[in-house]
Amino acid sequence: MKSSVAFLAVSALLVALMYAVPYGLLNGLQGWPTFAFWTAAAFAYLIIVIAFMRRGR
Amino acid sequence: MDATLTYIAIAIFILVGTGIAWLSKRFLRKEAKDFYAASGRFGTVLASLSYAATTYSAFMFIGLVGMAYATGVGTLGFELVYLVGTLFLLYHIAPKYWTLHKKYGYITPAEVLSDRYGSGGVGVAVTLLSLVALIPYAASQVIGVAVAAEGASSGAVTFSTAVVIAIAVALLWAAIAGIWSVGLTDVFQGIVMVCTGVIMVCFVYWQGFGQRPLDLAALGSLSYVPSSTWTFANFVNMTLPWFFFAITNPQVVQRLFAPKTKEAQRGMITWFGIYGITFTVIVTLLGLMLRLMTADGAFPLIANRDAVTPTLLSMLPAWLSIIGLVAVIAASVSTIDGIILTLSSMTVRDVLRRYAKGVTQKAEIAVARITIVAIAIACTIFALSKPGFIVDLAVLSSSLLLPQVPVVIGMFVWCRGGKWTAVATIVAGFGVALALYLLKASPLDIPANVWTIAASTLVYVAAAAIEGKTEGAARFVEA
Repeated sequence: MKSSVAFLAVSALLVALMYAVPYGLLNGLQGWPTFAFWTAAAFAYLIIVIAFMRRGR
Repeated sequence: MDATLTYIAIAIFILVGTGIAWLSKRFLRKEAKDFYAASGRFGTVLASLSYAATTYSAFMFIGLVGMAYATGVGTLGFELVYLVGTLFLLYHIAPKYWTLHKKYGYITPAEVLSDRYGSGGVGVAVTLLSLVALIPYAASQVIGVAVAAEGASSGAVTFSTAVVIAIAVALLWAAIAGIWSVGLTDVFQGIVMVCTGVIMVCFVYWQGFGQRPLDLAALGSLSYVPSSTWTFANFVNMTLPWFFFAITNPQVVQRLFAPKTKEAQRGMITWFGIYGITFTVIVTLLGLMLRLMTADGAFPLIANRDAVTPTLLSMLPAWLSIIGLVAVIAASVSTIDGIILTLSSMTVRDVLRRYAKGVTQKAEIAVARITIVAIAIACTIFALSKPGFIVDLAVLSSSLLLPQVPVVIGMFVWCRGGKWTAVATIVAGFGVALALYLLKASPLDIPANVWTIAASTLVYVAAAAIEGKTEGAARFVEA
């Protein structure tokens, strides 16, 4: 149960960041930052999912 | 690339795929459960590549490349939010669907909902909704193939011929051995898709940029958000239905029944995630590189975004153009046959069996095959009418499926609500989605899809509160 709540919280935070960072912090910044941020965020989330699946085994 | 070469390439692809589909018959047991859900016998590789190939379609090779070219980096965010949403939902919901399938033998996603909400009428409503929403989506895949074939062969292969070929192949591969032929050809197609993507992006980089580093800053406002297309409201509107794709699209939900163990399912989620990130980054990068090449004068300026990939295919060396075209066909067929198979299973299991009792397993598979043909014909007619942009069609389909979100999530977290709750939610949400789409309206500047999900959730909560607890609902919450 605790693990599930932690996963929910981490997921909500990451999704919020995927909206907020490019439209806030990186707004108007030309070049790779937005591309790199979204790619890194998705990759990080995949690692998180794998980690939680291993813990829940 | 001339017409003969194009036809030879397509013929080789069809022969190899049909060979694989035919071989898959040896795995098929003569029962509906096996025809549609593999009786839960897929290993990790089969489950993950099948899930990936069903999910990633012509939308990626044609729609997303063109969208990145025309609208910039926001396309990457749009597709990666989908991926994150899917991983999130798979983590929570995939094990539940798998457990329910193993315990109660469900074959279609609508059967699960019918049982939870206590009425076959719920399954009928979900099936009708899926038919209305997914036939345009399947047709958009066919349009992708047809546009690519027409462009790559410089018009030698006509749009109509390509539509008929794509539908016929999808039909054949779905009918031969159901999920087994679809799944095994998906593995073949999934590998073709990602390998071709890598080869194409490397080739375009090598040809267009040589040793130069890619300077995305040269794209100006296309390298960041917000932009004229990717306003925050539009980003939310586009990503919202996509975020929930994994629970609203029955062709992918049905795939959750297929893994043989929970371990295989976890492997499926992991490998799907790796595949998804790789494929998304590749196709988006391809679109952005082509846009940079347009600025350099090395690639023509394309006004119609769905024409970007076909134009690229027509400019590549013949060998790569052929591989590229085959990959587009693979991406489309692997999605269409999955959709056709799932819609057929829902029509037979959730509609036909409700009104025709005592149907034998053999008769059920025979009717399923007839339904597969009928759905394929409907997709052909829709595709030949050449409606809208591929991405827009795909997003419209997902918007129409959005009202299922509270019904599916509610099933796993709440014991309240029965048949009236489910049907009222679907009808109200569908009505709102359709009305806002037709009126092109976003009241109070709030994206239409937010209204759809808000309205359906509100109706769900209110109706469930009135209807009260449903008998047997606890086993879905505890799954």
